[in-house]
Formats: sequence, structure tokens, C-alpha cells
Amino acid sequence: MLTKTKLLAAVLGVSLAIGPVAGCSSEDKGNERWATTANTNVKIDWDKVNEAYKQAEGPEDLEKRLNEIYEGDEVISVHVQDLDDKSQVVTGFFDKDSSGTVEESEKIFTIRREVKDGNAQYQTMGHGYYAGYHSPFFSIASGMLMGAMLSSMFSPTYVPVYTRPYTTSQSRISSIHNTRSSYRAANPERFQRRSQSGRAYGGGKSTGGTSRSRGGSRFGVRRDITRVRAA
Amino acid sequence: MKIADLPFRERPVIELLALDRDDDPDYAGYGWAKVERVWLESPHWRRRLDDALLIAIHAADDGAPQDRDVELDFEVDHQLVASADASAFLAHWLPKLPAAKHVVLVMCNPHRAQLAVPGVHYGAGDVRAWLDPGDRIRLTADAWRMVRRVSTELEKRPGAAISDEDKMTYAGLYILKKLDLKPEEGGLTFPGVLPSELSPLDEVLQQLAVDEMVLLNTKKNRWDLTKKGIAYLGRVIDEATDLIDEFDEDEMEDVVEELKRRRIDPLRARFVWGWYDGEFDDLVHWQEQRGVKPVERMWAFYLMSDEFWNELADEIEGE
Repeated sequence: MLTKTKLLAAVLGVSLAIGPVAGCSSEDKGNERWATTANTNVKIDWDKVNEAYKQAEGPEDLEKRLNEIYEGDEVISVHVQDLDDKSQVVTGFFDKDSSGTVEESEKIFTIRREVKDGNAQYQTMGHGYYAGYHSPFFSIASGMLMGAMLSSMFSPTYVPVYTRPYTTSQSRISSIHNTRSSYRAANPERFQRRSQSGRAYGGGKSTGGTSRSRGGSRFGVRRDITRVRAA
Repeated sequence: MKIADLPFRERPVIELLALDRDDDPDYAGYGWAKVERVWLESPHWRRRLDDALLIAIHAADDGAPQDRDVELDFEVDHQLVASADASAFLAHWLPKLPAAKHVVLVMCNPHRAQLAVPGVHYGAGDVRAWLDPGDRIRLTADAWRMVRRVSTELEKRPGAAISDEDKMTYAGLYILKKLDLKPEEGGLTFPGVLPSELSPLDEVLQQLAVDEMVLLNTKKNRWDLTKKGIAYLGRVIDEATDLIDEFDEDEMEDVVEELKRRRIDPLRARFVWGWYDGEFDDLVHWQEQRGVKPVERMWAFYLMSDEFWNELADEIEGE
């Protein structure tokens, strides 16, 4: 079903043509579709990451899409910030210290969307273990279907929403983990690794957790106060 | 308020674990409940516990990091009334609670402390409670740990839960899997002369060569799997899938008993299970998730250490 924003994009006659418009040669090593981490060998399919951003309805939808793409154990958090009415930066990161803030060492990629001379475009850059990956500049100039995260900028009434940045919360991380487990269990062919013996290894196959599970409250509290210990 | 004065009491488990609602960020309720059955789940591993006493308490996320304790916060009428260390809290309350086969702390452990309360199951990282279809209660954490009560028959020598011979066998399996997988799926190439960070594996590779599981490819200066090695991997994968198919829903105690009856080493079963499922593929990450301190960054050294095998034995221990 088309969302309101998708319809709006269509009405505006915006057709989306994705393709390299500047910069990078297709033979550039940094443009390779696949990249692996140095210590875990977890690969990221950058084509799918770029497509996820194009199709995302918002940050929470983007989180879900990214974590279905990612095949490692960690959950990818996102930080979305509108720098002004033309520029948006999305940072994907592993929130290793559960701080909810993006540390340089936690960065996986940034996607920068901007409008220059009336033309919108975005580009993805890898960080850390994924440093060296840089996508072409994807032009956002015409109207194939795209999610609200991109199409909303074509609305005449567009106002940047994330001037106060959105960051994946700790409660969302657990929820994403649970949802992803169900996704992986439902797609075993993608998450099984083949042995030369003709069998397959397991991997990331999770156990419980379905979309019908309830609860998910965590057993920790944050108060940012000075405490007095009880005897 | 003193620890002894806290209104820490028995509560219906659904209410205690906030299972009547979805992801309540303000939930700070505490108390205890006994349940017939609960599942402890981490990303690659799940275990069933029957007859469990659940102690639900809330860690202070911004409490002071401690290596062997967790700071807790307690509210009354939405007001913080007390903060206490988990060890002090348990020292007071645990003796007052009814006996159960298992004791589980439903408590976040933001700094991944290694608790020193024997026989108590506790999580590392965020701990959350879920109610799955069929009224199954599931507690999730990055890892679940338990403090070993006393040394047992699993101990082969002081401080070690495994014999050198078994360690050589399982480390061999670990290497064979690395050779079996493609690099992008976690596979590795082992050069003829190992770099220093992999040097603990040299003896293992030599033994695998003697057993004709691997062969030194002199042209490419690397170790290759042999047909015999591949066939062996196939048999162990079958062993793992059979184990999972048969015991996935069973309580650890029953599994251990049944394995012993069949004269199968429970530690082998535990290793093969995690090995198959990828739980140990990144041993540095595995340590980090469990709160092992200090983390041994050179995975080959950790694989060949007693610490890794003791961790696995602790999960089987004391059931």
C-alpha cells in the first residue's frame, strides 16, 4: 500500500533514478558491494543498506531493515540528525557501551543526504572495520517509490523533523533483537552456512521469541542522581 | 530505607515481570515468584530451568561499575527509597525465600559484573522478560552465567574442567570448522607457519595432520582440509543437529543425566552445540558478552586456555 508520502512524491512527479552521478569509479575498491569486519568477518551488503535507506518510512523502519540485512550478532543502532532543511546525516553504529551516543569507534557507516543546486542526493561511507567503503552519490531526482524518510523532503510543507536527533534507544535494541530472531528463524536458508560436507552449520538461529511474544521490560533503571546506599 | 525494610515480597509472576504489557520503560517493580518452568536465552543458547525462584530486581544503569557486584535501585510509590549492592541484598533476602531447584536473578547487569553468589543464575547486559505463546516465560540476556558451587567430578586437574586430550580434540574441531567455511562466513586460512597470535594452535594442527584431517599444501603454504576431515565434520554436524533436535526443549539437568547415561561427556555436547550454532565463532565477542574479565584478545590463546572450558563447564555444573 502506498503511504501518503509516497503518493505525494508521485504527485510531485518525482521520479527516482538511482545511479552514480559523481565521484566514484565502479572499479574503485571502496565501492565493493560486500565488506567484512576484521575480527568477526560479518559481512554487510551495502547495496541493501543503500536500498534500505531509500525505502525506509522513518528511523524505526530503517533500524528494522538494517538489522535484517546485517548477519552478525550485534544490533545496529541508528542516529538520525537533520543538520538543516537540506541535509540529513544517518549514522549506523554498534552501541557497545549502551550509552545511546555515537562514539567514533562504534561507527559502522554514515549516510549523508543533501540538496545541492536543487538536486538531492545521498552517499554512504563506511567507518571502522568498514572504512574504505564509499557508495556512489545516489541521485534523488525522480519518482520511483521511496519511503517517507526520503520522499518527505519533496513536500512543499516539509519541515526537518530530526533537528533534535533520533537515536535507537536501549529498549528498542532489545525489541529489534527479538524481531530479528524471528526473522532469522523464518529465513534459515539465508543464515545457514554451508559445510563442504554437504551439511549446513547453524548460526544466529534463535530460539524463542515471536511477534506474538509479550513483555520485554528491562530490569534496570536510570536516574542520573547521587544515591545513598541502604544498609 | 534499610534493605530489611524493603517491601520485597512474593508477587504473581505476570505482574512481577511486567508481562501484562509491552516494553514498559518505567517499570521498576521488584519481588519474587516461584515458577514451574522458565527459559534463559542468549543469542545462541537457551536452557530450560524447572522449579525456579525468580528474584526480580532493578540494576541502576548509571550506578558505579563494579567487577563483582551490581548496584540496585528500589522504589516505593515511584520514589527511590534505597540503593544497595546485589550481594548485600541477596545476603539478607535469599535465606528468607523458599527453596527451589534454581535461583534466577532477573536483573540487568549493565557493567557485566561477575557475581560471586554461588548457585545463582544471572545475566550479562540487559535482562528482559517475555511471555511467549503457550505462556512460556523467557528471560533474555547477552549471556547467562552461574557461579560454580563447588568443584565436581568434571574437574580433571586443579583449575581445569577438561583434560588436555579432550581440549585437543575440540580445538581441532574448531580449526576444522574455520577451514571449512568461506572467509566471508567466518572461515580462516592457516599458513604453514603460524603467526605468533595463532601459535597455540600449532600442536593442534600437527595432531590433525597426523590424524589425516588436514594436509599441508606446500604450493600455497597453507593447511587444507582432507576428504577425511570433511567427512569427520559432517559426522559432528550430524551429532550436533541430533543433540539439538532431541534436547532443545529439555532442562539441563535432564540432559546431563541422559548424556551421562549414554556415556557421552556433557562438556562435549555443550561444545558441539555451540560450535555448530556459531556461538564460539568469535571468541573475543563471546567473552565480551559474558563479562569475562580480562578479555583475552587473542582468540587462539583463549581457546587453548582453561578459562574457556571452565566457563562452559560452569553452565553444566551445579544442576
